[in-house]
Amino acid sequence: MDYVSINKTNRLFWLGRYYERVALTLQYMMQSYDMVIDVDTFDYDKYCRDLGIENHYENMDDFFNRYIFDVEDYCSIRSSAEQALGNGMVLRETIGSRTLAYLQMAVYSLDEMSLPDSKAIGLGLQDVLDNMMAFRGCYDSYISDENVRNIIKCGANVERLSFCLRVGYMEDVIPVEVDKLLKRIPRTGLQVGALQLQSIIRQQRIFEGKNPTDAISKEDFLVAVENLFTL
Amino acid sequence: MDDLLIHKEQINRQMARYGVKFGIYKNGIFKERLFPYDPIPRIIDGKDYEILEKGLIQRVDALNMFLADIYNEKKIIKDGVVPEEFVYRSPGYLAQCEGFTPPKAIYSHISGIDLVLGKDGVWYILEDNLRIPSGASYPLIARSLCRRCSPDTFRRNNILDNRNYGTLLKETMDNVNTGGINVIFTPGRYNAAYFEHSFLAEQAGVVLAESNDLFVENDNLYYRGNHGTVRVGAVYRRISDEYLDPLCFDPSSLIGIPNIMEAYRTGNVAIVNAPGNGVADDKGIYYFVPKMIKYYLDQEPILKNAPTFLPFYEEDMKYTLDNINRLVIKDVAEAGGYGVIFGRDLTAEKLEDLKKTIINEPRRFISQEVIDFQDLPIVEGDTTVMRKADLRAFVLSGSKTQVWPSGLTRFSRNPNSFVVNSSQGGGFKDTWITCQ
Amino acid sequence: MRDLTFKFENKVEFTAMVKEHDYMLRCIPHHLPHQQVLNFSLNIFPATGGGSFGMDSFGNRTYNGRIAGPHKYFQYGIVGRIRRDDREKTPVDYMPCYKYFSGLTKPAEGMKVFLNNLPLNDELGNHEKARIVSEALYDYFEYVPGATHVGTSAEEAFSQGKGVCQDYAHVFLSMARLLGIPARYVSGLPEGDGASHAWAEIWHDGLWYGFDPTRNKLVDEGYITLCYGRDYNDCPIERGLFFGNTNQTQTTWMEVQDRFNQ
Repeated sequence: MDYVSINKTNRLFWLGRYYERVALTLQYMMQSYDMVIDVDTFDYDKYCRDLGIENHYENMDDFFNRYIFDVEDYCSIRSSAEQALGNGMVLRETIGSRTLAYLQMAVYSLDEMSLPDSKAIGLGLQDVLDNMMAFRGCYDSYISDENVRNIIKCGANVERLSFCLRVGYMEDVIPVEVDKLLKRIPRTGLQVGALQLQSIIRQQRIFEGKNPTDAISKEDFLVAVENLFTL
Repeated sequence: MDDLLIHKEQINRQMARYGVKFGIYKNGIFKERLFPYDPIPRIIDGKDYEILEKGLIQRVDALNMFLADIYNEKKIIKDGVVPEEFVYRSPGYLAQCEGFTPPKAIYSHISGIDLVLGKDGVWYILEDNLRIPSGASYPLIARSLCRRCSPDTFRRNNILDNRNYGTLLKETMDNVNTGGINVIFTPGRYNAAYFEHSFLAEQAGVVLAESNDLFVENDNLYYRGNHGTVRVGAVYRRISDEYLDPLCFDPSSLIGIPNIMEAYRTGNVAIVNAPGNGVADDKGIYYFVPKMIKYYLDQEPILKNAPTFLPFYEEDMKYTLDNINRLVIKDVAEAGGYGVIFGRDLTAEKLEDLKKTIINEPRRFISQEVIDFQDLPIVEGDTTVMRKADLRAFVLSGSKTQVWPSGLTRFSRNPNSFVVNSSQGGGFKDTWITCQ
Repeated sequence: MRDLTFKFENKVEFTAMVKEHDYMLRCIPHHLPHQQVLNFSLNIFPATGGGSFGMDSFGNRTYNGRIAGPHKYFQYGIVGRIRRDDREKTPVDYMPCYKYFSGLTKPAEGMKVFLNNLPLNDELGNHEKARIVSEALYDYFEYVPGATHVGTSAEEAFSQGKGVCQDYAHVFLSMARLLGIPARYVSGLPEGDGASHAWAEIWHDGLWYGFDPTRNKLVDEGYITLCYGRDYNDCPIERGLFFGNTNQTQTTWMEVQDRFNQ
């Protein structure tokens, strides 16, 4: 058995959240960048408000540039990738060097693309995304401790639910994510908040059509998801 | 071997992929940067290596005996071989380690011995590192990548495999383990050698822990696991003595483990390497190592020291002052390539200042002849250039003393520099030991 | 020969809860031929059950423990009876490190000048030299509480010419070692009441002799030794480390009385 400390548990969870954040926001940015070709606008102000991040961008181009690549912008995808890598680095002996290498490469490809006259953002971002996906496959396949895998996955579940609920992106996957999350909790050994768990189970029953008269607001559901794990 | 040159860039990219980095503090800001790798290996042939191996084992065994003696009976002082003041004035001497012998009387489990090869074909010992010598991870990674780039080279040449370092490390820890898990204790991500800490933990299959993962209760060291606490039997700490235990050494240390020294003194945990080893790798004590070999082992030293003088002795003071413009002067309190002064680089005025300092503080300095050591080729652009290089050999003291059949060859990138330390901007090469 | 009863209590109160509190105590009197511990008990609150006795490299008896749970105060106390008889002193060797400067006893430049002005010569033994230094130090140094802190070095204290008993001891040690005399720092309890005290001992012809430069006297059978080392840092009576964002106040009390004069 691998010995995982309480501190490491915390990092595993955040590793899951950050890599998922990078993967999701990248896909969303690629899609939005594509959309801009036709409509020439992207409501980045709303996006920032939805995610609860500070809108300190001058215009749309500035937003795309800094939100994706700027290592100094603490809200950026680049910063999230740094956080994922940072958490991964302190988990090397738990997740393995070969797994960690994909996060490292994702950061390198992001940095390579941030050079000023790189216009074909979509092409390069695909490289980053490929590395994130390879990371996902690699940790799932090489980490032998089930608890460890599931803690990372729970982090990813929470992040995905949070992002989809906030931005209204891929909302159709929410019921599936809820099912996965609830199945995984007992296989992590993590403590969860009872009230939050109750809300999520209620929402699951609503999704399943088992309790059609019950309702739970999106905001309450989001709060329950965000505060589910007491790390 | 041409494959290695052709694929230099690919190898470098591969290294980057593994995040091979060392951290460095510049003006108080922490920066990670790649440790430049040069694809041309240093090759040591089997016959040469045999002598090196014997000499290194002999040296490290004597140093371990010296440490056990100094912290207990002090026979070598009483017999007048090593003057008392060189021991008790050494910053590495820790009175808190007096009167206690660690498990199996091993103090230096992992020793990094720095050598250079002279133009005369003779290896000279530059210094011993018995505290927390780093650098084993770099050749380890380089090797596995080079094998991938140039399988033919490795098929054709009989190069001793060096990829067993993790296993050696684990055996070394198991040998002194008092019953419990093995951990590598790191000060954290912002330590210059963090990469190595995490990489070695992975290689040796031991747990990497930071200070808040560990605590002492009832004279036992415990790891705070998420399935309950687990006893620790051996801790390979990658943190300096002074920060190790805030209740025993520097009280302001926030990265140490309170009362770990109590667990250690009770014999409930092995600390790798033992605290207090600094007294034996002091630049002043270096002078006495050949004498130690004779004293403890009754053998002639196999490996030579660089010719060294102690201004502490009248005769050596005179020699040092007379020849200062061609000697190298080392401040015994400094490490990592700092405090090394070449007399020939100084102006007449600076030389006079240095002389005065030496006369005032004779115990603080040693002087050495500058060894004319062999340069090694390194790749620069499309050509190769010759640069100064040294070798750090790793000696592991477990149930027996063994030399890791590889080592870290560091080179200076600056053509005029003799200082090859990585914190001074050098690079590294793989080191191949060929067998006959 | 004297029979002394002693009592020493120390209480630290925190303004907020603290936890994961590791501590190391050196408050257990040495048991020596000339200081026989007849009766002794140690009390620690909050009581945790755990904790271990030990001995450090300087020969001090130690007690270390850990209070993992939240608590708002930490208190330890010793009480007991001791027989002091300096005629019973037996010859011992000194640890060589007592001859060398330690972290807090590095000499100040001015100390050499100070010593040069004293009537010291090579004919004198360690004891006589130490007596001259101790008396001169008492005259030069001024007792000013608050002028220094626990981390003040002999060098700093000497330069400003004032401090408390710890500083007197450190400056004395620095000068003794400048003269090549093996010397050590002592924490303990002198006869009377109030706070714990610090003085120094020098080695002379196989025996340790105590000097109390703060009070300008030789250490007699009214002094109880708790612990010693090269300087304060080697042997604080208590040292601890805990988690918590708090202020702390410390109250300390000690009392040493002759058993037959009470």
